[in-house]
Amino acid sequence: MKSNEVKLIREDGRRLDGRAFDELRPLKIEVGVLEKCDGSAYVELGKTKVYAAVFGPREVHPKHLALADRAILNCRYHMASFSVDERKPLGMTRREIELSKVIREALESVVFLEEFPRTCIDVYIEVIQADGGTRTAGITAGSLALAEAGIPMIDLVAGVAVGKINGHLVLDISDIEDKYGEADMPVAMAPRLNSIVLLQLNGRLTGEEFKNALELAKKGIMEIYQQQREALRRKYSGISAEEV
Amino acid sequence: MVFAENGSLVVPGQPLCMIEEFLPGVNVKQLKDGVIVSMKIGIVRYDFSQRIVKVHSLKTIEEIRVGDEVLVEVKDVQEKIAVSEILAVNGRPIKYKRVAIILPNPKIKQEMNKFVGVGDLVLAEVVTVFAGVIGVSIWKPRLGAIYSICNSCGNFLKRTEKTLVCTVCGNKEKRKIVPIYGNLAKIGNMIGGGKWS
Repeated sequence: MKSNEVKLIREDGRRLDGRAFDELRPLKIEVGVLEKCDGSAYVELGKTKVYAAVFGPREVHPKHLALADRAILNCRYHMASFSVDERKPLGMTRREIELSKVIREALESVVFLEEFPRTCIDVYIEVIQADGGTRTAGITAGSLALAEAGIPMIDLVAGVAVGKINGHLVLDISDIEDKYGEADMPVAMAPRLNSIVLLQLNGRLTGEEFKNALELAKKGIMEIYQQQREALRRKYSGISAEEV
Repeated sequence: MVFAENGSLVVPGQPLCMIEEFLPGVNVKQLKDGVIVSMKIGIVRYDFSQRIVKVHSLKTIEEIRVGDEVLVEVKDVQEKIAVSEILAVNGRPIKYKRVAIILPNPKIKQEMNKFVGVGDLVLAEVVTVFAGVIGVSIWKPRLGAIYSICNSCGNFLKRTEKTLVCTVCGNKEKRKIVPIYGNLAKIGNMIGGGKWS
């Protein structure tokens, strides 16, 4: 049950962590952080820390699950036992299963799966530390890991959560703002295509608030998208045109 | 005017040029608004003579194409075909094994078990790739079993003048073999194992 009683905005008009309403938490993105997989990425958004790893395309097992006209995108979103305040039991919870599905659907919309019939591509998203916005950070990391694995994509995907706290719309909500705020709206987009690939809403927003929240999310997503592109460029900046 | 310089690093979704300027080549895609974007992270190349834009990917995905020479392990032998698993392509081991079908030769009436056996390592050529199904042929003289094992006891079949003989039980079997049959060094090089003797 969301409550309005907790004061989430300071006297000086800033949020509890000192951010403005339309400000992202400090963002750190790295690509190619894991050695054994085909592609990997690390996203740190404030205290939220997420790794993503990609394997494939590889053969599907069991065989009867293979699709004759396209690849399967397997997505597994998982939170480490130590990622939250109270130890999270091992195994997949209902929430993780649902988030795996929505993340898969978000990533599927940009990947050219039809280029790899009868195969599957595995995307593993591991939340190391959770402080709000883990699904959107997972999508951001997953899309970078796919790009790093050489999977053909029409665009990168970036995501951010917008919320409503004490009557104000805020960008990139933290855990405490999510728990005690009035609404939470994770949004993920393929920015170049200007297409929304994930949109969920917990809580209530008026029509006007929803429009403004979406604009706020777009602003945050564009910032994350720029950093995604820079992270990919940073990883491969040493490679000259002659080497290819 | 192009959006990304020739030879520069591009990322997925990055606009490269307009369709009026260059035709889309490999690893690029034309969007509805006529903009050509990169599909992969790589180096963009504009071919000014043929007016084609393409991206040389920095991360290549293992792809099996028609004409590739593959090393396969036979998993199942049926009357007309054999099911096998690809271990190496063009002399290089692959990370993710793929299933391939050893196709029959329409000119030869004998059953497939006269040419390959379960567990054999076979050199083959890819003749068809359709919807993810790979078909290979062993019917050229340089193709066939490179290492065969006995159907009775599972030990190595040694080549004699006319047939293959098991080194342990003496069982005689028939295979379509390659001229370099039993060359373990070649197999070792192809599948990236340790020392082979």
